[in-house]
Amino acid sequence: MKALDLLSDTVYRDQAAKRLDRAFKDWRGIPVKKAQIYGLRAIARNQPSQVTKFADHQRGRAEKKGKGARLEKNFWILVRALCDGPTSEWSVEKEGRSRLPAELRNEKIPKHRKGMSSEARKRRKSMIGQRRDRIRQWNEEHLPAFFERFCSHALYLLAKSNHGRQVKRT
Amino acid sequence: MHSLERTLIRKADCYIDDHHPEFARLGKQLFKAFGSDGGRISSQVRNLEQVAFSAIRLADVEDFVKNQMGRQVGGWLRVGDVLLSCLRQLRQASETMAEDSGSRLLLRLRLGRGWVRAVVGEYLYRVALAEMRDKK
Repeated sequence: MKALDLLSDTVYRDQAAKRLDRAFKDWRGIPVKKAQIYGLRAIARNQPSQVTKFADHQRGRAEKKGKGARLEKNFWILVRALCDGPTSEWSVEKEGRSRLPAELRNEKIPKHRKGMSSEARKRRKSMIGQRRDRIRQWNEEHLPAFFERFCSHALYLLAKSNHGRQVKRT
Repeated sequence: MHSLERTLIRKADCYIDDHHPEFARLGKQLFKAFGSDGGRISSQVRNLEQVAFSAIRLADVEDFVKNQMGRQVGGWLRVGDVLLSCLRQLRQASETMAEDSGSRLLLRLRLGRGWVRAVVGEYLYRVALAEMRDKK
């Protein structure tokens, strides 16, 4: 059984719902179009390494629209933070870092200091490289799984708010 | 390969049996929402059944319901929330039945499949009843 299946069925599902439910309450809706959510899902499925770029690009477009698109901009900031936000309470990358093997954790990698032997320097460099590769691989595998949950929940909330509006109008 | 212990299988089956009336009510609601395709199973209900049997995680079934609600297909907006709350209950039930996370994952799937069998069974019964009524 893969760790990815377990995470996808528990942590990713819960985090996606939690973050979106909270945002939905604050923003009183989902401030993006259905097509944008489909776009996000397609990128996450086919080019997971491009999700952050896509989110930044969409945020830039929202910024150009002006104040009226403030919530849309916030949506893309949220997407970006969920990928690799160093300061956000949770992100896919943070989840990956917490599951790194003990020997690749920050505290195990020797700090760079003056007078370091060339061997120690090489070892340090190789450990940093290994850690970077692990994180990259983690993101490649886990971003599609997380955004599968995220986009489904976003579509669900979007449909509910549209339906609510339609019912109110009638 | 991880497989479910016999005691857990029994627990899951007992849970499905105990909650059968509740699931049957849901089948009835499904019939009200989707009706039938000329006396046959609605493609939406058939898709739900297929997803439940082919999924490797219960969250995939939840995602299917959410996606269909998002696409605003047929009667999904009418029954989607009830289905999702039922799936949440199955999830909660699995928490109390098994200790380790691997068993819980499989247990959730087994519960989901038992659930869909009960719901679709009742739905098909309603389809048959409606057809018999129409023939009369």
